[in-house]
Amino acid sequence: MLTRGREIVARAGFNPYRVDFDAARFIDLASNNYLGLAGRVEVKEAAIAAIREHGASLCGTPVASGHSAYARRLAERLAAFCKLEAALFFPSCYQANNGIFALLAGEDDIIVIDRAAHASLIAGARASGAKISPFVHNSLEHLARVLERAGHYRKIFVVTESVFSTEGAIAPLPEILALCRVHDAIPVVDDSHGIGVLGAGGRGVLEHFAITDFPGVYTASLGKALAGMGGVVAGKAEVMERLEYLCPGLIYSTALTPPALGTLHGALDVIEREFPALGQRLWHYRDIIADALGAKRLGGEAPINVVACGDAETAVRLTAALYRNGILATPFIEPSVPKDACVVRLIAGAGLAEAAAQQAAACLRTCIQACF
Amino acid sequence: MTLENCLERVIKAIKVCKKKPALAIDGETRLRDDLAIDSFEMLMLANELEAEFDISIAEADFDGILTVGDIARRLVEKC
Repeated sequence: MLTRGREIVARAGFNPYRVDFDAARFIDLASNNYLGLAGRVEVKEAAIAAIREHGASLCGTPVASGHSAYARRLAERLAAFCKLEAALFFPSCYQANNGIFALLAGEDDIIVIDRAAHASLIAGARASGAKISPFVHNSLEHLARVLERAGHYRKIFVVTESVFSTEGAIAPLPEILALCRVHDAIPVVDDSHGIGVLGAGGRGVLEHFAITDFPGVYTASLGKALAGMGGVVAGKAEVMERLEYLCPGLIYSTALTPPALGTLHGALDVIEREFPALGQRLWHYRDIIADALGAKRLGGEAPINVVACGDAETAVRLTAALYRNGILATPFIEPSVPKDACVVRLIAGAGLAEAAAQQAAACLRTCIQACF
Repeated sequence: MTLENCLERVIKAIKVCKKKPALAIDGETRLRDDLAIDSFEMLMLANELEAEFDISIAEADFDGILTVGDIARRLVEKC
């Protein structure tokens, strides 16, 4: 795999994973800075204020010195933002997804998981010792069939993402929850690309689908639309309490730093105040880029544009062409996606100027014509 | 169970996993190179086959297999 990757990079004369760039000269369609909050003065000031007030780091795990009143207040605020009972911060969403199953599931249980779920969910599920049963990506029919065969397990978990970021598809969560109810299964949803993006108030997938009283486990990254660092697990208070004291990924890791918490604080302020306008711009830019991609665009509903490239070489070649024209994009090749379904992902965040989005669209038209 | 019958049922399970009923598959079709089946999709296929044949399949049962026919032969030995 590594050798093949090196060959592709050598032929393209470009390594997309070691890009050195001057942010001022590039149009960033590669990051997950959906709302442009990473560069907002208010967010940066909130991070600086948190350092001034609480220090650069808590230098301890949550159960040692890291369980500050500041972190607790912010966790409560984030839980309320998502309309969930309680929330816990993790050092990263990868660590959150990787750690929860070890505590919640065991060898008498089954974890039914979308075939395209994030690597962190798959690794966490596999490490739990439970039976793992992948279902066909976003297929309710296959999920129902798998659940019908799972009745003899002690606990059943159904795991999915809200937005599959390498295609922009949104999971049919209401229907998945309905199947969970029928089969007495516990839903687990990773809303990393939904929080701060979906819903009328940017509150994520639960708001998007008007889901109230979510009965399962909710996880999300704080490093995408929320422009910070770390991850969150949220849901029923009793489950969060158990995780808080027993989840190894949490209790043996240094607590989220004050600047990370401050960034979240600042980001939530901006989202609560400005999301209608920011969201509108995000979807507008998504449409501008989608028009430029034409038939090469995968048909996802989220504000993510994905160019279907087929093989890895085409994905890297297109990314290189864009880079040479001042556009940063992200190629996804095996193992992130199947080897015959490589893509280039483009996220035109609300922080871009209209002219930049138009320039990126024009450049995409030219580069796609040249690369296919 | 004959090898032919087993192969037919394996192909049916692969088409379910790939969500492509019209996929052209025979015993010589290579799982990774032709069908782009990775280890996680292989796990899904193993679960489908467990249900189809009413058996239990460990991940190690499919060690070293390359083609659709290899799976069928392994299952005939197992059943």
